[in-house]
Amino acid sequence: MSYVLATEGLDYTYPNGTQALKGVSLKIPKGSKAAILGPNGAGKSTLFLHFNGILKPQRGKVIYEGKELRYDRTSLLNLRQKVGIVFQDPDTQLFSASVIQEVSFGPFNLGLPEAEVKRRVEKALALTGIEDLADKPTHFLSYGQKKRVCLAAVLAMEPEVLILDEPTAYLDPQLVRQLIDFLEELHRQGRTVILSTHDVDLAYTWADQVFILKAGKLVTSGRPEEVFADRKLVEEVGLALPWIWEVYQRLKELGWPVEAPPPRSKEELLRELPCPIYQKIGR
Amino acid sequence: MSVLEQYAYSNRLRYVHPAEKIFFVLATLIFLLATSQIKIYIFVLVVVSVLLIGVAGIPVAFYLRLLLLPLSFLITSGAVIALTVTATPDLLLSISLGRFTLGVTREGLLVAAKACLKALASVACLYFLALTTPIVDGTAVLRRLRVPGLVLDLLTLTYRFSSVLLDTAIKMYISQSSRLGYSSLPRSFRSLGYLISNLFLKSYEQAKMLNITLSSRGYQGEFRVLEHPFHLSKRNLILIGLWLILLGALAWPGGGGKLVVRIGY
Ligand SMILES: Nc1ncnc2c1ncn2[C@@H]1O[C@H](COP(=O)(O)OP(=O)(O)OP(=O)(O)O)[C@@H](O)[C@H]1O
Ligand SMILES: [Mg+2]
Repeated sequence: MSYVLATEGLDYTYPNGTQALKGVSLKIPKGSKAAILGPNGAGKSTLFLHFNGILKPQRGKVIYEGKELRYDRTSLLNLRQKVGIVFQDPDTQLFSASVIQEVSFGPFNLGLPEAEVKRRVEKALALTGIEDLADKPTHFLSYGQKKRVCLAAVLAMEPEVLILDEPTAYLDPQLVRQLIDFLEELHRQGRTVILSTHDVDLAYTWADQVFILKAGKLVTSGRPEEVFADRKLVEEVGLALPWIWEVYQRLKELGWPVEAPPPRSKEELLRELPCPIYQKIGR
Repeated sequence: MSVLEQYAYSNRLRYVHPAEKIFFVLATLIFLLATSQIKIYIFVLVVVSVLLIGVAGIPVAFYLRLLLLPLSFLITSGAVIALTVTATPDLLLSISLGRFTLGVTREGLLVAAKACLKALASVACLYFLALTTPIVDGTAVLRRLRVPGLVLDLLTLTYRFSSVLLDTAIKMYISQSSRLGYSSLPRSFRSLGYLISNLFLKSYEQAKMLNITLSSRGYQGEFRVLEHPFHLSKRNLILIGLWLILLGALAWPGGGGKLVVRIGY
């Protein structure tokens, strides 16, 4: 398997002495859907800043497409054309008072011609459902709307690797669904999507790779069903188990046919519920 | 400030080409400054007000309140202009102060009224711009006029960040007062102190973060962005032309003829 992004023994300490990352080594397979989980302050955002070359590791290295990151101007520009990041706090990302200006900024920096920029901006606005906000000033928007604008601003750059720092926070359920559908679409195009979240259900259903960070250390990683199989570890970290996983485990205890693969979504769970178990529970 | 802006984004002249609006306002302002005829001042004031209320759809009450803002200042300075102190008491109204008399003359009153109306008409013109044209549209015009990109980028950032700063300050204020931060005078002082010092720390952090988020999108020292596609309207240009000719014709007997030719071009 080839890895699009990887880190080796990454250490990072903020100037005020907070050790945010402690020897993090991880590998993100190309074309995967990776979810980074971890409690507040675990170091997720700090890790993402390394993926985009914004923070330089104090020890260890970041590897993109098999090559160690270099931090000169042109290398960074090249990296940032391929790796896009949507930041956690929209207010830090918005520089312009106009939505359309904000969204067109990235594509222009890629050196695209104006017609193409227009096309991409329209597409990104449609995808995030904010066509009607295009001419509104960003400071009159609600928080969730601002998040959509930031999302559109990076989607319009159509990066190879899309990094999203808590993309679902503040979004309404409808947009969360749309976002997930869209991430699926990117996945089908062979792009890599990395997101951080506190939503274990989302991570379990959507991701094919899960990484759990705690206090700057990588605690565990692997396929979601491998990671969540270790109930004790997950709970120690301060995370809950996905409810689908909990129900599945309980059903297995009650006699669920073990050969069935664990269900990944509510639909899968409901579809596969066997009759004998209904009877057993109803006992 | 922010209410004014809300109108700038939502008024009915929002999608008129900003260059037309700016040209209209600038030409009228120059006219106002150059002419000394009171009827022109009144005419401009009335027409601009009617445009704002009738065409742009700004509520009358709001507009009148805006006009009242400079009025208090105008009245006091107008009074100072109108008042004369003389030793020869042939005044319309006067109080005698020993050897001198304080009062108003006809001429003094006229000069004061002129100054006030001139100022009021100019303010109305500026309101016209502020209430119909968002800053972002203005920068688009400046870009066309070849104003250096750096200046415009600074303008964009300053504008965005003054709203962020204001917004943060309001949020902090609400958060403090909801926890009784302003319930007594000493407490108010303390809360305000926290607010101000934190506001600066926050702004600094935010500026640093912005640098990061911009460079992560490939920022190389220049903002290149899409601007709203405005179209010059022939009808509007003709109307503005007619307006200037009308102003010129009104000013004509007073010797404003040369001026008209200059602006007409
Ligand atoms: N700019 C900074 N300066 C100093 N310390 C920081 C800074 N940003 C983060 N930290 C610290 O680094 C640690 C990791 O922070 P980080 O933002 O990476 O966490 P996170 O996993 O993204 O948390 P959250 O889920 O709350 O977003 C925290 O202890 C935090 O206090
Ligand atoms: Mg974070």
